[in-house]
Amino acid sequence: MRSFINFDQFFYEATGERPYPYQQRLAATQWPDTLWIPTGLGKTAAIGLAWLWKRFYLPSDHELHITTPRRLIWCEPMRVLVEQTANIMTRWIRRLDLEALPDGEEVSIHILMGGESNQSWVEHPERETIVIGTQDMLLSRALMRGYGMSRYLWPMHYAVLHNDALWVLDEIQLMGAGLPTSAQLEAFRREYHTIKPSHTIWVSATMNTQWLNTADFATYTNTLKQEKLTPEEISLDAVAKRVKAKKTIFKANSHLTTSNVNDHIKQLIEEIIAKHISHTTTLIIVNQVEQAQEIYKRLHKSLEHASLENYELLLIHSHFRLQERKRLEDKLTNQVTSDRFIVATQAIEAGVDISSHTLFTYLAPWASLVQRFGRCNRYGEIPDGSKIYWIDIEADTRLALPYEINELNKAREKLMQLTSASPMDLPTVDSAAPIRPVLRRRDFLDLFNTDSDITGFDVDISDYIRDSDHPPVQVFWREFSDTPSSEMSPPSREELCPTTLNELNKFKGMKWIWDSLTKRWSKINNTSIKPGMIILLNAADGGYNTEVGFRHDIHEIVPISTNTTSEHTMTEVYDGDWRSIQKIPIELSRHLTDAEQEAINICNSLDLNDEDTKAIIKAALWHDVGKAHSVFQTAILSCEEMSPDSNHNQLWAKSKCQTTRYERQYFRHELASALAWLQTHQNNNSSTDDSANNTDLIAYLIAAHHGKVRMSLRAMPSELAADNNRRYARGIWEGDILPQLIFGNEYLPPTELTLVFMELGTSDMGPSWTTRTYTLLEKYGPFKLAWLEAIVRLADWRASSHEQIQI
Amino acid sequence: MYKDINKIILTGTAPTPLASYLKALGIFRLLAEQKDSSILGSWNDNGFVLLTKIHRDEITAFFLKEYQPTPIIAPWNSGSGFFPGDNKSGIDPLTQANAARFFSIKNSIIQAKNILRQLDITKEPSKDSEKKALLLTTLRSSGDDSFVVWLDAAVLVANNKLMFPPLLGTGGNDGRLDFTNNFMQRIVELFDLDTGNPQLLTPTWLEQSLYGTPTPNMTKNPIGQFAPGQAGGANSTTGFEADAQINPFDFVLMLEGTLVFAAAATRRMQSSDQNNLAYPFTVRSAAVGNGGIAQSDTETSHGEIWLPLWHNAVSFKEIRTLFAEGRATVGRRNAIDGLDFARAIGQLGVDRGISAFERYAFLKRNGKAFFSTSLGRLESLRQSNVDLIANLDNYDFLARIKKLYKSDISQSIIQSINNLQEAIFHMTLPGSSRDNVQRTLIHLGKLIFALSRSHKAQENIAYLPRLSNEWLKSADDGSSEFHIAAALASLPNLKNYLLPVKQEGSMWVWSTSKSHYQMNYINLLSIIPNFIERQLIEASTSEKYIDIFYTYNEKNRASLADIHAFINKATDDEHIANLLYGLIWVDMSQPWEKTSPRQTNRPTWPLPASFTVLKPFFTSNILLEKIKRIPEDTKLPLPIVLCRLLQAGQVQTAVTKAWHLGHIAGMSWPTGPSPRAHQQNSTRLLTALAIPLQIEALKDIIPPLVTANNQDNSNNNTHELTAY
Repeated sequence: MRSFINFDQFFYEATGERPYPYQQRLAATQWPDTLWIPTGLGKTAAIGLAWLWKRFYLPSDHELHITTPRRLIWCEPMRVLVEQTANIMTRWIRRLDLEALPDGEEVSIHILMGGESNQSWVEHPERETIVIGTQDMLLSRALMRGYGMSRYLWPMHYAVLHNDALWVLDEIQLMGAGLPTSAQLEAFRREYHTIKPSHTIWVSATMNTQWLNTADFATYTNTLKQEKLTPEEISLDAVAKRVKAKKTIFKANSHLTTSNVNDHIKQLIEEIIAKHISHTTTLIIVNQVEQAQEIYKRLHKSLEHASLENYELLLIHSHFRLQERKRLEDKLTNQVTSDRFIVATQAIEAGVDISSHTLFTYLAPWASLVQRFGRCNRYGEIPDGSKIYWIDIEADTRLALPYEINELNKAREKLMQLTSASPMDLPTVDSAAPIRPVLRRRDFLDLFNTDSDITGFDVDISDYIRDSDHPPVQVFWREFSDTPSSEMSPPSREELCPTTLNELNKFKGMKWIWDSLTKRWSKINNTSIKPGMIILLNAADGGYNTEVGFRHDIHEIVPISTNTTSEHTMTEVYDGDWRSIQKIPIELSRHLTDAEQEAINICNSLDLNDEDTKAIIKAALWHDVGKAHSVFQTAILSCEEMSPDSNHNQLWAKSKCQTTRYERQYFRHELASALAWLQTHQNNNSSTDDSANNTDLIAYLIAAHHGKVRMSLRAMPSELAADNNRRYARGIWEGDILPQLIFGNEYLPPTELTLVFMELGTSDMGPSWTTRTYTLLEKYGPFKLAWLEAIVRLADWRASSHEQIQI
Repeated sequence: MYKDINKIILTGTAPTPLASYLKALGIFRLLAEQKDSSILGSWNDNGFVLLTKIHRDEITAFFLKEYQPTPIIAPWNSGSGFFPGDNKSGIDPLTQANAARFFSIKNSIIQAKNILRQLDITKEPSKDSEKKALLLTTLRSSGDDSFVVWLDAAVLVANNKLMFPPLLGTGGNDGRLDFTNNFMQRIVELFDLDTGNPQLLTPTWLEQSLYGTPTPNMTKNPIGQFAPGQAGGANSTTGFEADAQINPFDFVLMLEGTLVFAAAATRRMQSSDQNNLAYPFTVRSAAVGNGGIAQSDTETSHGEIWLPLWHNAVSFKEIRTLFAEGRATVGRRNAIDGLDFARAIGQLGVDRGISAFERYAFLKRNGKAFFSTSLGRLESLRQSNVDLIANLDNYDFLARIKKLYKSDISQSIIQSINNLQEAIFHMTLPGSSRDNVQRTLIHLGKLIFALSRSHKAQENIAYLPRLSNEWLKSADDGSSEFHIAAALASLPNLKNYLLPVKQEGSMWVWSTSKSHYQMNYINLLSIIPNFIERQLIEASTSEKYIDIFYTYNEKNRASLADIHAFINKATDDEHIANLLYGLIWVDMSQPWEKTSPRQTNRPTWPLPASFTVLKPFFTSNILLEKIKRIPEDTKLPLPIVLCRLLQAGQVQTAVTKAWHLGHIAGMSWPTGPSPRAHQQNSTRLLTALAIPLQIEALKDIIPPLVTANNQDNSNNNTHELTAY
């Protein structure tokens, strides 16, 4: 690892610039709760580099090192910001040579957004990790209902996102319902405690701490540590240049009313061309995608007739495929050499690092306008200043979309008073937080249970993730004649184009959806299309143009990128157990001791307390004893390679058989493991074995090691009953016998399993499963319990993969 | 440890009426949360039983002097006390209360008033207004945790929409009656708000409420929808009329009990359907497709609730978890609500060792207020039928037909779906009979037949059901109709004759070839003869021999008695046809243990000679050979002419021809002229002949081959011939 004299040198090495004082403060003091810094003054560097500095360059016993969580969770409201933050962090890490650390471990950056489903970041909780993701992906995971992932991995993601994690909530003015959720989560973390300190920093140029005043976080808002520019910093040249950048505000002549929609655009375009300053950029920010497309189209025509020699016209909005969006973003960041016009929606509001001479913007809520003003004379690079023209909108619900009339009215009032939009002249954001559903304690604790309700439904968390009246659908195009082939690969992230239900409904071409049950594409009509669906369209039917994006009335053939690598997202069936299928068969007793050893290793590297460590190790040692169950053994010996003749009397944990099918549907070996543990460790309080105090915790950790048997224990809805009216759940039947097993220093006698724990109340075997698990949840709190759960699972995963390598 | 535990039976509580059940939950909850967290509770015949470390007099003292009322307030309802013109006799004193035990409710009232002021709300916002959603969102976002528990019991606000669980009417009121305002008024009646002490009569009310002898029909204490009285009489209105006599403690504890229920917004994972209301043990019923949920013309059902009764002593924490687990997402958009609900609840009940469910419907009579009515108690037993339904639901068949509701599909299919769901629902109820299983099979058959007429429907239902053999056992009522239908369903080619379906691997799917299939659903006497003729035509074009009477299984065949009944028109042919359309979806490859037939096995009168002579031609040749009724390597094909003769009513000609052919084939019939055929319905005879017959019966009516080895059996010939 390279050494640096101090943070300044470190910072310079990474960015090529000297840090501002506030950036130095972040590296030299405890983390603040809020960071309120005008746009363009390096917030990303401030936090990212301070985190790297504290984690890697401060001694491990340094207070600031200790209070700096191992994981940096960067939560962004938009995909474009995720990409941007990831790019810049990667660049700095490369420059600092932190990619490959001496111990062979590296600071890894992981991206979490729709279509990116890599999960290696959860597999190494002992390593420094940066996770950058959209609020949908990160908050849904923090609520134990992760979007776009296997539900059985929810507890793992939850564990690593809450424990030992520094959450950076970026551009919070754009987060909507996600903001109060983040505040509530921080309150819960403070109250229920995490295994190692976690912390949240809310970041914005336009911050109002009242926004954080939620039911449970309100007690902390008076004592928030707030970081912002000091008066001295503001007067530093470099800062002043930005903060005092000259931006003059005018009201545009054109004005959108319900009666002049068409004329208005014509008038607006004339105005745009008239106010454009040659060889500079004019940015036009619009509130609706369709409106942006229309302005783009007509501006394009007008510019052809204008006297400009060499101009560039770009359209930026969210309804593009990723492949085009990337190209557009590249163009945006190119040096401007000619006359440039950019028509954009609010997709460009935050983060994207561009600056313009002339800015046209429709009326928008004040917080949005502040962001938009940041898109001109951003660095104070224009000595004469930039000009901002705001376009008024008549108070009409439809015209105001996606905003509300009264938000616009308030913003208009402010604009009327203003002549300068220089950051220092802008009034603070005083708007109260809009009323949003707040995640309450009971909601949050309820979510710890990952089972569906008895009718197969899951608790809906979307109200707590983001504001969205019309969550978008995604479409993609392929070439096919009549019917898409069922062999067609699933869409890659690059191919997906977001759009609205409304726009898609207007599109006349045939729409197809993948029917996972019949494994084929089936037609879907407009009324059946629901938010969140991924819809296939025929490239021949049009609907897309690489310059304009999705639009229902485009009839040209949609170009298909040949380079579409498909990413299969893993969806696991309930009785799936792919980890038990390996190249090299492994005996059960060996796998158990291997997992024990891995658990010891992980606990050592994580420096856990003795009691937790003992429970984790014991659970790892016992986690798979249920594989001795005949249903499991029969299934994994059901191929020639594993024929019983050659494996007489051996019990196996991993099999070479490529397909295993349990004779009992929904069979879960981990339930058998947990029952065997519980039954052989009842009433041994007098035992000297330390684990006796932790019987229930160990039972839970054993049961939960696939994320499939957790808080509650009941049969699956379509599980077939056991014979003779026996109790049954998840393929385990009352009276099933596990054969004796010797493993490590343990002995499991032949054990007749009972499911009496399913039933309410206390039996001869003690309290019910529910009582035990909910008592654990109370005792450990959700974060710690999930963490312990995750470590046992990791020990199992690592043992499984090391076994395959070591032999 | 148990020696210090007191067993206290709350004889003032009972599973019925609903109010009394809720009261028990209220007492249990309050004691667990405010007095003894280790308290256990269970139901027995005498009421709710508490196991607690506190004594009976301590319980009394708790409710009189310590109990802190939950903030059960509804600032979103007119009549709640929060709006001008409302009765303020409860809310005003509580706002001024000085005793600490009322601070929780007091503070919540004050906070709610502030929120109303901030939002500038001075009267009840109209029901579906954004303002109301906004108000509820604000209240839920900022209220005290215990208030949130109450709010979740009364109303769900999700995606800016309100949904009301039926238990608490429309958000804590019921017509003109606001539960919460009454709650506050009762608190004021019970306690001195300055000192926190009970009023003079309060101890008596408490004693009656906790230990009063329950009456099976509590007509004297009507409490809104929770304990409907009978019509007429001073104390028997459904709501709180001025002269209704109630025990204030009953009312208070009952509402405290509703907090065990909490709504949640749910949706299916991986789908982005609109979210739904999930509520413990509750199904909200709608007019269509509510599979068995109580409904009649004069009453509108607002849903049902099935309340668990358990005998094991259980902590309140566990009960709270049980009620969270018992949340069911069943609402207007879910077509087969009643069915899914019954299945799901039944299973949870079995898993958790719940002994029974008390079933209530919320009905609206004559457009007036809702009331709850007990529909009786359901013992929680594992029904083998639940497995049958799970089996029917393989490949998501039920979910897929449910989806059809959403597409625009013909009314007849919708009706068929409703009928099927209704039938399935009845199968799930305890005491369900074989009739219920048969009805399900019949409606399944009818539905699939209806689907076969709709391309649109077929697109949605790709895979057709494959019912396990268990269905036979559960549906077999011993009737000839059933046995005949099952025997016919054992003919492998019948299914793709009746319907445009084909087998793909192990699955049955729709076939696009529509060249031939039966259009006439009901008339068995036309279906079967046409099927035979079609088979013969196909066999005649085939190079190799086709054994068209081969059956999936040699055992699933009809008896002579069944055939007798059929030939003598003692069977209900329509019923057979109906059953047949259902039974073709059952796996016939395995035999089932038949229910003893209703008729005796042996016919008491002889079968017509025409049947016995013709039957060998309508029997699998392989089988005939196996039971040694035709010589080895001989074939006894059915000439199409025999069928046509029978179709034409020329039974005697057919018998004569068969007699001749049989002899040629070497059958051991006596020599001489053919037996004489009686005048009879020849189509019925033809149909009867096609019904696969039990092997024993075949052995009885067809003489064995006369060989050197079985001379002894030759007597049988004589015996059988007398039967002609």
